[in-house]
Amino acid sequence: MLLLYSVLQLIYVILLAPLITGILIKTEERLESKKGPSVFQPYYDIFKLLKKESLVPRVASPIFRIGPYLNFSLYMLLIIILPIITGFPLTFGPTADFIGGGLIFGAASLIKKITALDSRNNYSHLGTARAASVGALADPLVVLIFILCGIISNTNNPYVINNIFQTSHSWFFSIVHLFIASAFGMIVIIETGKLPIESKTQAEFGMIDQAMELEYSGPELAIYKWGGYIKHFLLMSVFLNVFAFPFFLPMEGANFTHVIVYSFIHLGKMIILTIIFAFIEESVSKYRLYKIFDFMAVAFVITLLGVIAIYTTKGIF
Amino acid sequence: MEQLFLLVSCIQILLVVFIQWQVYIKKNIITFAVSSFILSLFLLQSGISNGENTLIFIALLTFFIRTIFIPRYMIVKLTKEHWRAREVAPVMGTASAIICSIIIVIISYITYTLTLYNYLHVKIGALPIAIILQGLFLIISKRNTFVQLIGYLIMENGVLFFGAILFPGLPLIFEAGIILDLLGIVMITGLINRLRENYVPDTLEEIEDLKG
Repeated sequence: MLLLYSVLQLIYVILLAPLITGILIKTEERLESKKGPSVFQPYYDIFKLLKKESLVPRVASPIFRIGPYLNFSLYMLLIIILPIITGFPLTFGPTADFIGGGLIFGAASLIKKITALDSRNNYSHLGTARAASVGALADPLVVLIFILCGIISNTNNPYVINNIFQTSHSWFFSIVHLFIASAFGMIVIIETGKLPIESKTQAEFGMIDQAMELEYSGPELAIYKWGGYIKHFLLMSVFLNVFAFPFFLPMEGANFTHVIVYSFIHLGKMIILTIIFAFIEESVSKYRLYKIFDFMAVAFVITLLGVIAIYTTKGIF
Repeated sequence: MEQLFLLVSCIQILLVVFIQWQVYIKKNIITFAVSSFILSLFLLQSGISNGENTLIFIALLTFFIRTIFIPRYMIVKLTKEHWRAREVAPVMGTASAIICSIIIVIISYITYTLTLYNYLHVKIGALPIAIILQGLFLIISKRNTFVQLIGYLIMENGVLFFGAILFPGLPLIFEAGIILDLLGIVMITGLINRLRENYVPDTLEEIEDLKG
């Protein structure tokens, strides 16, 4: 049965990830009083690109072609590890804890950087350097958040952390949880490149992610884009299921119907979060590149305040 | 009560961080007003729950003077175009200032745990001290006179917070005296700044460079 849930989770995320991006784009356009593309536009883009010819720079090595598929497979591995439609570990759940999941995210990002460097495009190199600078500061912050979760739950298992926040009201309404959720929310904004960070811009002064896949075309670009949608979906799911709103997840002993019903609830949660992101994106302006570090500094401060709150109220020191 | 004290302290610390983050002076003044408002609400709640009339009076005094009068006075005295006034050249970068600010919180926590905690036995007493030191850091990390003034006011907020909670029996005249001193300092600084603006032929940047 666990294997069946794993397959279900895999199909659920892979199929619905582009839809969430489509809803985000559509909502933003509607907020600007425009008609906007269909919510299924990301699917059309992927299918169009899959049918197109692939162009590879003459100087690139075979890594350039393999990279997108490796990247995508790492995200597939993450799908079957993380708590998305179940609150209990599935077949591959014990493969990695939160730190392990972070490392897999890091590996996927590393592959993207290597392929960007392999394309030998100046803009790709520029994007890689920027992404590495941001990642070098954002990743330790994520680890710090996970350590804080570890102090609360005595483990780094996302399922246990979800169960604690879901069942213990004293932890859920504690100030420590407020800080953890806020800091992780800021990390989601950084990692998904949403405004005020906006790494997807085409403008040279601010582009980060967009620059890295500049030399890609055809099926490889489609796979990279699809991987990007899955990354957004996973980060938002972790934010919702573990930190912000860890309720209604089917616990140990839940039957198939519970899991199916929760899948729809999860989709609803994702759509609400997407609409909130759309409102944020429409109401704030983009930071200049070097201001991103100020944003991360604030996220760091919030996380450290969480640590101080734990020490002052729980008497661990 | 402990959780509420912790929540208010953390909000105060975050608001100081927000002041470090912001460039526009008007936003900093409004942030200070919000910070004072939260402090006055906390003092009011604390006074009502403990039945301390002195705390309720101080809460009202804090609300009228620090939340309404001083911020309003500062905005009026800021410049003729107060929405444009901003910190042009801070002493240190924003990200570094924010990180230093939180390091100060940690240092004050450790120092407090090793020293005053042995007498007071209240762990969260470290946070008002952190707010005082953060105010001090705001004064030395910014060049604009008004932001430095806000730093001074935040220090005073920290002192009031610390005194009102850990030593609730402090005489009212002591607290009221501090608030009146504060009023005088703010008014004199505002006047000097306006005089300087009117009589020194300058650009906005030159006003910003005025040392407090």
